[in-house]
Amino acid sequence: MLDQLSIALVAEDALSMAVMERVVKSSGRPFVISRRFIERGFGNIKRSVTKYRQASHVIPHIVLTDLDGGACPVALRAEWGATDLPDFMLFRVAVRETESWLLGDRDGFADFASVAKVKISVEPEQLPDPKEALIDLVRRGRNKRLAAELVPSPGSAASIGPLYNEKLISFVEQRWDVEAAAAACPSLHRMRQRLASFLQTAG
Amino acid sequence: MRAGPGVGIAVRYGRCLLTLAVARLSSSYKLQAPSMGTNIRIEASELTRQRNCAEFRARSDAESDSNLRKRQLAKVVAFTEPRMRGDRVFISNLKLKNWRNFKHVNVPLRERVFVIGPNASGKSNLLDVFRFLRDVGKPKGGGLQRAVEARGGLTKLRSLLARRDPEVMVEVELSERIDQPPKWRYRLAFKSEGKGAQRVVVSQEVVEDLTGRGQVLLSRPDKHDREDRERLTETSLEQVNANKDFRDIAQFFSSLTYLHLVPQLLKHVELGAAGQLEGDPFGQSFLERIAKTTERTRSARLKKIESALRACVPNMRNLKFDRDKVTGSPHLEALYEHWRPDAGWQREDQFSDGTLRLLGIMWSLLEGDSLLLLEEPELSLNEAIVREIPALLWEIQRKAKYRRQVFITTHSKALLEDKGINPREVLRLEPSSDGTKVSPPSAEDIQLVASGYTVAETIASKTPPIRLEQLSLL
Repeated sequence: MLDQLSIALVAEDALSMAVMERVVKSSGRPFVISRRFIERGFGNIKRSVTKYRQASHVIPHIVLTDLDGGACPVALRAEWGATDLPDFMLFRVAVRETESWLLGDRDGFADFASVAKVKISVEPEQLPDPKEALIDLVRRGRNKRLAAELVPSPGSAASIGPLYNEKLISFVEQRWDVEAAAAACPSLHRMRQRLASFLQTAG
Repeated sequence: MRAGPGVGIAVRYGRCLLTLAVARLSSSYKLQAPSMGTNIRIEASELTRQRNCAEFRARSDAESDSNLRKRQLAKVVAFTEPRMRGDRVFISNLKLKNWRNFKHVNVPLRERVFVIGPNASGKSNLLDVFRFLRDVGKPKGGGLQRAVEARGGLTKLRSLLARRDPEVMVEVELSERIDQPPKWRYRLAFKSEGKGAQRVVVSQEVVEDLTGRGQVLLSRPDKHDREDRERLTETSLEQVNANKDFRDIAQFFSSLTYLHLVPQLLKHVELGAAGQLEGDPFGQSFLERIAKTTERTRSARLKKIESALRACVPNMRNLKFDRDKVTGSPHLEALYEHWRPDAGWQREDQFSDGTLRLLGIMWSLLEGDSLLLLEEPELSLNEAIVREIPALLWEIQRKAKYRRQVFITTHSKALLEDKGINPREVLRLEPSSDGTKVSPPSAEDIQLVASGYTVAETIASKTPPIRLEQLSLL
């Protein structure tokens, strides 16, 4: 029997956390998620890299953040001081946003949002603003109820609708196909590769 | 002092270590040639807390020259036991069996305890243990029967999970100092009589003096109880005749305060017209309590409160007590800064809910000397102020004549984000199918806090986030 590996996950928001949980669980490794830190915004993650470094010696950490408008993941890691990490820490960057990973499962998302599959980008990591693209898809989709839940009402300054996180989290938990998404999203694919070897040598 | 070969007194104030005297003492307390000796370190916080300093004079002889006894008068200020004045104690351990929704509990406690847990996990039930002990030990109108009855009888009090063992048990240990062996242990277990009127009877009542070799001061049922079963309907704690040897414990329990101040009851006096609950949990008599204090104490306390409140309610000045000229009813007044110098006088019914709650909490901290139970002090306060609550509590605890042990139930993450909170001060309640579990922090929790996580983050990280679907709204 494989030894269980107790780990901690760090994400920017509840949606990223749900995504990460699925990705970790689909890795086939005996990870047990015993702690979840939702940091509410990338600023808190950026500020806390040193904290994760130290805490990873207490319990291994996997940190996921969004690239957003940044140039590339390598530059972001350098800027945030997330290089030369301890063996117990993974620091992964979702290219542009977690939403690109959701769009990566084109079949699943087309079904969920009642949109034609062809309207979903085949390379979601190339989208400049995947969140906006996702909302836009839902807005034009046939599911009007979902649109009301996910899309901000016209004239609202809010960037997302009232049940955006809740609905997308249940999509991630119930339907999202991690492997299909990894095939379309190189950054997700790399995260899965790293997960396959994470703690192999250390633990 | 006699035991050690030497005594040195070093006082740490802030970060500086100030050595007052390093001297060697012979068994006759004579000062001899200075050398390194045992250091008594007195923490800065204790130093500031101490008012009662005992002085002792020590005459010294020069060890080298016995003929020329150069008598030196060394005035050394020796401090009494840190923090403790008189016999003030706090609850350092709590054990429960079949108490409401707790089947088994055994947790160490500190001078400040934050009780956290989801809704309906039993935070108030946990605090109710202490109120129960108060009700049992109360000199007027207390007692076991009444305390159980006031809680809806034994069937409501006993855990639903109590199957084979129908006994309810509460055990507390009282200590004088943190991380030191306890001084007292009090255990009370009771169950239903099992026949007749189904009264509640004491099945165990044990008092132990744990100092020195330890001594059992009381162990019931004893032979008198076996002769007269009727005696078991009363605890020894509630009887002045029987609690002579452990009256300190009885007094400790009877003087604890529970506060869940409801500002509306102070603002709309007519709401409370139906009467007050015993022990005034909702702070209805708050103003009368202030009124009963002597003028001097009152203004001193109000001054302390005002200065502590300044951070939260910056434009409030001159907090004072006054009586209505016509009705004689007590009132609090404060001047809110305004460009017209005398325009801003406001009475408590115009204070904000949050201000009133803070006032009630701070007054209670300054007032008593026993355990203080606070329910959700964060209510009606904005988050920036909630963040300051731990510091505020500490500050007021320091200014108070007696440092009270404080239990705080809270739902506020902001409150627990204070970096000054020791994870050992937090009790987390976790509902399970086998009753709510009370867990002190794990070694991992403590290490994570040491790595830089706040107590709030560390504890919240163990529970998966609640989904809206789980609230069955969708």
